[in-house]
Amino acid sequence: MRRTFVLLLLGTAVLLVVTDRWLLPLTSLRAAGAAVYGAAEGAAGTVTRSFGGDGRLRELELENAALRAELLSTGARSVSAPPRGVSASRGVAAYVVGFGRGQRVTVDAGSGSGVVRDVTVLNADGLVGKVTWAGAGTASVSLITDAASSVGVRMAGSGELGVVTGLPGEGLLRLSLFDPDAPLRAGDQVETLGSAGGRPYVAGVPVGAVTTIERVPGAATRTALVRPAARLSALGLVTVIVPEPER
Amino acid sequence: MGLVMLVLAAPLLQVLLVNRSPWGGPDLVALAVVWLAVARGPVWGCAAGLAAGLAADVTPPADGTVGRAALALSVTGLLVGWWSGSRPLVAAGAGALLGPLLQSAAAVALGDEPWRAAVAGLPLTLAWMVGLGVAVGAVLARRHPAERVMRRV
Repeated sequence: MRRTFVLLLLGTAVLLVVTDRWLLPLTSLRAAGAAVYGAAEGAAGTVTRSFGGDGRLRELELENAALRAELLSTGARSVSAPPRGVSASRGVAAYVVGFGRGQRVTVDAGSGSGVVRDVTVLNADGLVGKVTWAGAGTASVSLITDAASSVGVRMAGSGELGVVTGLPGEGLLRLSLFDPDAPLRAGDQVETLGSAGGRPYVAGVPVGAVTTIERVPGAATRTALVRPAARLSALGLVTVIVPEPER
Repeated sequence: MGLVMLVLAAPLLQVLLVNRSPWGGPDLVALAVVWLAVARGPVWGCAAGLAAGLAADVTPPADGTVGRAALALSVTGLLVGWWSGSRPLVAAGAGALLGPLLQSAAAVALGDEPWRAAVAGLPLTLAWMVGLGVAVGAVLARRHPAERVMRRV
């Protein structure tokens, strides 16, 4: 009897993994978890912040987020006109309320506020990451320091193109410039190149500054370590750049 | 009832408090499962592992395979329950190590995380877990000595 029950439990766990991984993703289960635990995380965040006495700041923060998004979208437009079919975007202010193992956080804005997956998350200092999953009231954000993250970037001064990837466990990023002879110095600023349609990354967001240049003789790319502009270990208020619904 | 609450609240406390610590932190979910397995035996441990693991799998911002932690922790709960009959201290300590190790292994095996990312925070977590796991074992061994003797017989 006990043996049957234990086997049933283990079988359930295996079935869950097999179903979600290979048969069909258990989205409803995840949405239910996000609804219950996400709501609890959001509530806990609200309570913690109310002790700080910044209730009135919320409006100003929302306005700041909107202005920041507007600034970004106008800045991008002055460099190159946005491709056709891409609507304007707006900023949604959100607080980081939950921290996952590895480089993932939860923010307290979800599909109710228009947040969808694969959109940019930034804060006042620079790029934070992108939304990987949006629940009803919360969204999961993968930080740029995640090992699976890779962001197309441009050097602020020289305009050289490259890619920035996360280094697990160190809080740093690795920059690879496509031109192995590109000029590169410590302190150079790195900013996002921007993706088509601004998803997942919008253009012109500061990513960080070069700290150490790695010299690998004969390498096909120029590599360096980059310290993120945003303090990713102490995140508070962030802005999610969400696409404006078509009108 | 209190134990059920403990299992369901552990994932929430983990994402709200523990994971933001810069010095690493224990895996509260695995600790709760170890606690139940030592206190109540293998069947309870296995059931608690499934429930707590599933809760941890769907607590945002987790976005790996659903059932990954559930599988790892139900195996952990079962094994700790079996071992704890004779030596609760050793069982709790070993189980506390086994929980995070199995979860990381499952994450790598299912392709959710590259192995470098999976092992990056592991040593600190394991250091926390071995200390707290032995503490859990010691508390429970002191609290329920009679129950344990009865179950072993």
